[in-house]
Amino acid sequence: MTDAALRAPGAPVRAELSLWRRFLHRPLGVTALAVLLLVVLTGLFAPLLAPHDPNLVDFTLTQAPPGAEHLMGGDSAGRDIFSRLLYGARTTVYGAAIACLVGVGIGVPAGVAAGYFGGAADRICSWISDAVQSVPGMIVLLIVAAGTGADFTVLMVTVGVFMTPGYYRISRSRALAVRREPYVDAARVAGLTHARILHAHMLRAVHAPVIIQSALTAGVAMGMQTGLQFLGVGTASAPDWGQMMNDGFRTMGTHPLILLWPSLALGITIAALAFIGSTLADLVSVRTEPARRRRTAPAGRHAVDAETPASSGALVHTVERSALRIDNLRVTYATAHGDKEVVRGVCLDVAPGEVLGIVGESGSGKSQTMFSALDLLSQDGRSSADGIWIGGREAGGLSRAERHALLGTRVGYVPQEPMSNLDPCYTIGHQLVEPLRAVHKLTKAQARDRAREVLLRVGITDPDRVMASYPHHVSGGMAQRVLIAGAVAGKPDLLVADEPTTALDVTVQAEVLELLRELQQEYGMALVIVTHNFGVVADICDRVVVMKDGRIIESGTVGQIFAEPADPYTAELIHASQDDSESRDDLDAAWHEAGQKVHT
Amino acid sequence: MKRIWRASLVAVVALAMAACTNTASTSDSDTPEDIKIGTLLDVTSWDPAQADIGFDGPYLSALYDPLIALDDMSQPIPALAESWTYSKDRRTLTLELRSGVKFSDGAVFDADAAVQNLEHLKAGVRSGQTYANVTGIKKVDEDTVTLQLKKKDDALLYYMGLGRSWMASPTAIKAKSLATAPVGSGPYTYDKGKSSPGSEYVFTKKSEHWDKRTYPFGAVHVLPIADPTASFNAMLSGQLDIAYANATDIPRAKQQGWNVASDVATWVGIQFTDRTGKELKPLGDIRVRRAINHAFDGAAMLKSVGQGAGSATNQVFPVGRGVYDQSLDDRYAFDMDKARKLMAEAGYPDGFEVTMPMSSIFQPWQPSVQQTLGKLGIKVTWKNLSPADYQKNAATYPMFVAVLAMDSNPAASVDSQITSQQWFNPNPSVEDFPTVKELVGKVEAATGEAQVPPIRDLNEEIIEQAWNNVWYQANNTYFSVKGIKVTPITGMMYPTLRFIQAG
Amino acid sequence: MIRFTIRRLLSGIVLLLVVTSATFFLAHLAIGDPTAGLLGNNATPAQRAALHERLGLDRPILAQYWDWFSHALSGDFGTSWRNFQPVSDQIALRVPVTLSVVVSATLLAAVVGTAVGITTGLRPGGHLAHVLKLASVVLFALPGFWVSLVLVMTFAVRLKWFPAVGYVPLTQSPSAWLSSITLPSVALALAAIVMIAEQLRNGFVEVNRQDFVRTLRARGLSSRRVTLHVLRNASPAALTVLAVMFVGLLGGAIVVEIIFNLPGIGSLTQSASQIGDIPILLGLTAVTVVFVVLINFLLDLVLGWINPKVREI
Repeated sequence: MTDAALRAPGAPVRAELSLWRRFLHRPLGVTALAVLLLVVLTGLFAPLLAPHDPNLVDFTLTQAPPGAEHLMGGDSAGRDIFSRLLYGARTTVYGAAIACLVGVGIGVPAGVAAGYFGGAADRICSWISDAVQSVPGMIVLLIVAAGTGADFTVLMVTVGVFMTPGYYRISRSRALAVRREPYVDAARVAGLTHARILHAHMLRAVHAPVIIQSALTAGVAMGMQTGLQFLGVGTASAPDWGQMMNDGFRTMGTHPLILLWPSLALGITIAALAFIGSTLADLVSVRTEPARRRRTAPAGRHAVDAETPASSGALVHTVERSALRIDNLRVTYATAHGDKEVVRGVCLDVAPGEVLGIVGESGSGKSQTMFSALDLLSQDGRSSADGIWIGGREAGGLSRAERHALLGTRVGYVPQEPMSNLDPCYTIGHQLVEPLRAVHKLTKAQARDRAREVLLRVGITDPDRVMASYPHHVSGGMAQRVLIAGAVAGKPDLLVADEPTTALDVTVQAEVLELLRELQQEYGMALVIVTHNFGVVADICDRVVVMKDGRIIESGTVGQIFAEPADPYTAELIHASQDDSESRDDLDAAWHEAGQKVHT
Repeated sequence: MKRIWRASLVAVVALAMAACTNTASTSDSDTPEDIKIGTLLDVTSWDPAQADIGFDGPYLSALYDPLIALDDMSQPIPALAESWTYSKDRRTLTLELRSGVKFSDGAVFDADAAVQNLEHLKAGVRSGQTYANVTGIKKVDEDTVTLQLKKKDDALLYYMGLGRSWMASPTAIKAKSLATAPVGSGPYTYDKGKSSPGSEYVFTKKSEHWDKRTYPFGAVHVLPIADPTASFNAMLSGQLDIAYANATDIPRAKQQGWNVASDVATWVGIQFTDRTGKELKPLGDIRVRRAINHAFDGAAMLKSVGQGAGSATNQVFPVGRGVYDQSLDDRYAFDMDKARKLMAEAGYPDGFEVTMPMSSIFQPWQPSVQQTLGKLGIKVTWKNLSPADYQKNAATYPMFVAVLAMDSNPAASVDSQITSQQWFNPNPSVEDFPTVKELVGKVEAATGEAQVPPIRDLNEEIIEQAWNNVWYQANNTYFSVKGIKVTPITGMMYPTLRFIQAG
Repeated sequence: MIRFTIRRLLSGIVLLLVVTSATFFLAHLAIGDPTAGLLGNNATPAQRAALHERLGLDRPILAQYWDWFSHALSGDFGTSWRNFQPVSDQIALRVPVTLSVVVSATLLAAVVGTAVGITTGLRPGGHLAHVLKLASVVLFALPGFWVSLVLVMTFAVRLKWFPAVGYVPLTQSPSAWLSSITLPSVALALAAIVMIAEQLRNGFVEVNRQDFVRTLRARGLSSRRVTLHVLRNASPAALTVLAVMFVGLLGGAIVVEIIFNLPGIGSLTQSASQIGDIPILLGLTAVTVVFVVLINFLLDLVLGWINPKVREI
């Protein structure tokens, strides 16, 4: 906890720096940025660059074709299009900048305040934001135009006001997210004022999304400029791409080039903005991805290991005798920094009626091992193995469909976080009945009866009420029972439970374990329990494998391992889990410590 | 997944097919004599008293007969009034009415109906000005009415013919229902069922009409299309037989083999509202006004900004008609040196400052004005207004860029351009120019054809006085497919159905 | 549920009041005297004064506001300053036009956008995903009228499959109606399709990462069934975008209405603002806000149905 509080405040800064650095590695992003800079510079230095006075009327130049003297020809009033295009960049960029500034100036502070303080401030600001969104913007723009004689600055300010809700929403949601981060609490406890926290954390957190939003807003504002000119709203006091396009629009039948030039300029500029925005958005979303996956893909250094070590672990049953048999499994993840091998040659097996524990710290590859055995790896993961057998059959060689057919029939799966493993949009009943009908081809009534039956079996006394409930209506323990019911409803031969108790209260943990044990014996299933906790192993398992950094470092019967752990790491782990550690974080910390002790 | 794709594909195809088959079927049902007319603006009102002359012609002429119509030369010709006579003092106009005409609701057109209509028109917000000099409207007998005038009004018949004497059913006038349910005696009736307001109005031909020969077409469709590109596309796609055109598109129309009909409709230039120099002293000096006239190259502006669609002239009387005098067009030949010299003589060698209004409609001319006046040292500050505000406020500035409708009738032109107070001419200032005043007096003393010579003199005099700065007269242009001919009428922004003929 | 409805409706009414009042004062401040624009070229000062009085413009603005407001409550938005016809009649004539186009564009966007979104969501790195991304940038960068023009030039002028301009009411001829709104709807829908597809694709990727998807697969459900679960979870965000878009299209249809010459509320907005017809502008504002409130209310209902959790917070 304290560790996190000290470390975290610096983290966003580094992330941000690297965000820009990574941006510069994207050719598309760099090109787009260069184009935008070029447009801005063109606008700034238009007086130096333009070959002619943009407002000089030369009647002989009216709708003239491009030539040496006039690169893009003349417009309908007899002015040099190229010079007007250069000067027009000024107006266009200026207008977009105004709209963005207004949007940022109003939307971001309001959003941050609403997200950070919550309560009435949030409700009022959000209401206003919704109200602004429901105002017919075009009507107001036209009214404002009528009243101000289409004053460009005023119009762009109005556009900015209508873009405010966009800024408001992203700032608010970022602020809400940051508000929940522990380091903000820590900062509060450390006595920092709201102002300093807002300055130090919030503004930094909204920085990237605001830039992305601004790229979008600028594009919209530029589009609005042409749209308004198209509707006859606008002045001719300064050269302006929208007004040039309007001129072109009128003459496009006979002089299409007049329309082409400003359209190209505007199109390229807006596209540049869009590409900058989308590149940044990609980078920002990638930044969060490794964090999500850190559980499974601990660090980059593994990828550097060039040597492919031999397989680890041992196979103790014959193929025919095993419910699950994995031979030399490797799992690789594609990440932004290249491939990462998270499981590096794992062998294990489990016989019918046997309970196998797979123990290891977060990121040791234990869950990934089981996911690949069940063919449930996420899309960016790849696995290879010398062989995977399920129920004595080689599953690796089966087609995807055949392999898939094993799920829910031969193999059951109990996930770790009960709440996130139920679909929030469907009732619990539906989620139990659907596989029974779709996979087991039961009728609706049969499926409901079966679901009710298993729910009763897992200790739920009023199955009808639970089946009618949505996941958010039930407690974590109840949800886990539902998930177990779902896993065993298809009467599988093999049940894989991935940390089935970690997310639960201590009292519930014991009940759930007991339930699993009972079900395992009743159905004669093979049970594989993936866990952190040697306590769980001691309670329920027959055999155990210990994993670290994607390899099995030790395996044996529970008795053996507890009595004489061969690896000092195992010994530390056993020792650590006998402390009063309960939460996953505590356990992880203990495991981490154990690792440090052993390796230093 | 596949199923979703297939479903959406099927939906899209079905939609497209339904839509396609339909266009084919509607074009089949078109009878050849139907005509589809594209105009610029939606009908202002079905009530003749609230309608505009400008663009409402095609709509109202389908439904209503006028008392008096105009011929191709803008001369008043009989319609529901078979003949008319002025009293000697020209203060009583007697109209002999056509008999046997019925409105489409069955009401009979007679003197009572005419009186009611004329009173309705006199009271109308928009039609009232035509009858401003009318003090009494009386029924003489069943077929005769008289109008009493407070003074001689040489433009009255012309304005009535232009679109101010549409006769509506007295029952509908009484019921105040004209605006929504028009009832007239015209050659067509409004088909509400087939029309979609704002988009397409359909008028079906009556089986009987006293002037059948003038209206050769079957059903008349009038489609208001504000955007010139949309209008051109509609012509291209065959949805229109006639379109109100943008001058830029004339070459393309000729490529398509369409008929192109044009006539001058407006004059384009700078209107001086402060000829006496009350607000902007320099404008009171004739040399300054003349300098401005010399400074603008009207012909070049017509060719450039005006797309060549019009006639370069400095007169407000339409080119090619009685009053127009070609020899006057050289009075202010483009001559910058002379202009500068005149400015110097007037005591403004370095020019002066002026604020002028601007609005999106007038932007095409803005750069030329700024540049040309700039060469005389006249520094323009532009005040941007919305189009609505422009019409309201432009004349409160001493001078402004103007595109003003002209009239084909000389007396009406004198009235609208010179003598009477108008939004664009709030201070006619005739009193301040004795030479002008004298000529106006001569014009008013004469009658009919005899008016033309004094009006020609008046025309010359206001040019001499640099009354305003006309660059050119701009055309209104109409495209029509082969077999349909449009005759533009100066004074009507869009001609009435009478001027749209097969041939 | 009832409380939820009442709360939403109350909030909607307050919104309607605030927005229309703001528009009223803004419009009167900005536009002021409309008589010149209304009377045309030849009005005399006396006529203007008469019209002034007739329109009630000679009274204090607060009195005018109260007048408007008390009448508006009973659905009477006054008469247009252009043709002295009731505002509500004119808007009623035009609402079906805009709604036809906007609703069909929204449906088109929903159907095609969902299809594209799901396809790209299932294969985030596939070809279609790249095409989608490119299309989104191109459509974003193209000026508003380009798409419409290209459609007209191709399908109306060259191929003559659809009319280039105009609108036919549904009641007059359903097939002609469909034909008249096809091109404008497609023009409006294109950008919307891309937005929905992008939103749905991101939602798909996001939901696919969630644990319950793996659990569903582990239960043996076919990928089609799993996709339905993912779709339902990803749809709230896409639906919200769809609703926001619908609102945007209501106002943003102006350009399309002009190019296709549709007599909808967009073109009315433009012409009314050109001549400063305040009653029409106010009526349009009120109608648009009513639609917005309705759409948001519907959206809330649908979101609550999709994910019951939403209903309870």
